[in-house]
Amino acid sequence: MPVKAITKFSSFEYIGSYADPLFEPIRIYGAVDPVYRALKPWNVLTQDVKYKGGITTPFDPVVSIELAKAQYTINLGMGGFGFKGNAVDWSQAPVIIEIIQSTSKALESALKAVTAEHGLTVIMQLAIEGKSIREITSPFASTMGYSAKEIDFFGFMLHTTNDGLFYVDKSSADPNDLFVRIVRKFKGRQEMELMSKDMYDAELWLAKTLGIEIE
Amino acid sequence: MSAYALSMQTRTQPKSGALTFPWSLVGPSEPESALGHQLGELRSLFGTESQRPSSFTREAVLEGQHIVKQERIKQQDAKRSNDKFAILSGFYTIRNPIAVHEFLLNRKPVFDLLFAALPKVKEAWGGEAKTELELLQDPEDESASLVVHVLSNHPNTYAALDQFDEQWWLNHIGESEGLLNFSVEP
Repeated sequence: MPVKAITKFSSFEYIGSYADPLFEPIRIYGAVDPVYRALKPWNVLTQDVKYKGGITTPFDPVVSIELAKAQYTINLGMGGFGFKGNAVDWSQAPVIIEIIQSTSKALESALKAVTAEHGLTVIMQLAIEGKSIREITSPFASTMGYSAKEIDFFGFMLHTTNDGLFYVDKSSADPNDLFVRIVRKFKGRQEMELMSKDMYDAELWLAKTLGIEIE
Repeated sequence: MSAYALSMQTRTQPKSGALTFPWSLVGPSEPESALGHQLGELRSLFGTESQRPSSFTREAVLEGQHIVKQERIKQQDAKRSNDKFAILSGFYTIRNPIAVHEFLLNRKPVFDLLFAALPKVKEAWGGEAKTELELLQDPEDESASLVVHVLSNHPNTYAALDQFDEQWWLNHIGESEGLLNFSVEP
């Protein structure tokens, strides 16, 4: 029977990297208008567009666009674009997918830039109900020759051959909670919906492995 | 000597690994930091060492710890719910926000449907369509339900409503348990 894990904090980040950086910030400024128009259905306002200073690398955001009362941010950079959302859960996936796809389409037509790599990251702080994080994670250490009473907590980092990552640790915000980070990476032209489904499956797998049910 | 320097001197130095970032490989020692944290919260609940009766049993302390944990989860839950509601209100104009927020608190399926409906509304009525959310109360049976008002310049808004119903809403109406409706306001 899985144990309930209450999400205290969660965030989702998507980064789409161009095959080659554009190196000219002016081109990004030129793309703001089509991106802004593409985000109109999502209630973007003029004051949500922020021009950034201090750009030192092609991956720094040149322009940020805030949505959903600043809980979502679209970052436009010379090396690619990104989406970041706080307090996210899977119910928001249809909206987030649409926002990322609309931005991607607008950028593709404005910049003629091809998104060559995609990175999706989910971060969560989970409070486990009725069990300690020690109880949840200590069985994983048994194969390493430690007895249960010697183990305080077993965090782990699992890299998969397709550039994926599962990272489980104690939360620094509350050491009674689990900190989870899941990364999925993809190359070439990809459908946001399929990448999102892959991330969902990865989260389900991790939850099942830990014996928890994420709420 | 400045006050800053004095306070620095009196502060206990953190142990190695006690302050770590979430992604760091070395985490703080759970019993030490957790106990210190909980003790602080227990003190704020039950008073300091000198104020506390010495007859506190282990059970009472454990119960206290449980109460603290539950309280913390409740506070975090409320914050998350507020953040989620803020996200929702970024996409819907909410006519009576306090009542709608309260209504949605323990109705996750309705919350989920509201997010899922948005792309479908834009698909049927176009990107310029606006959505407004209202809680309607029926004084006769004291029941309440949410209504999404779709405001658009669509030339045939009722045909769009049919399309929305057939392509999405009729497949999901059961999940709403009669607590959500869609209407058009040309």
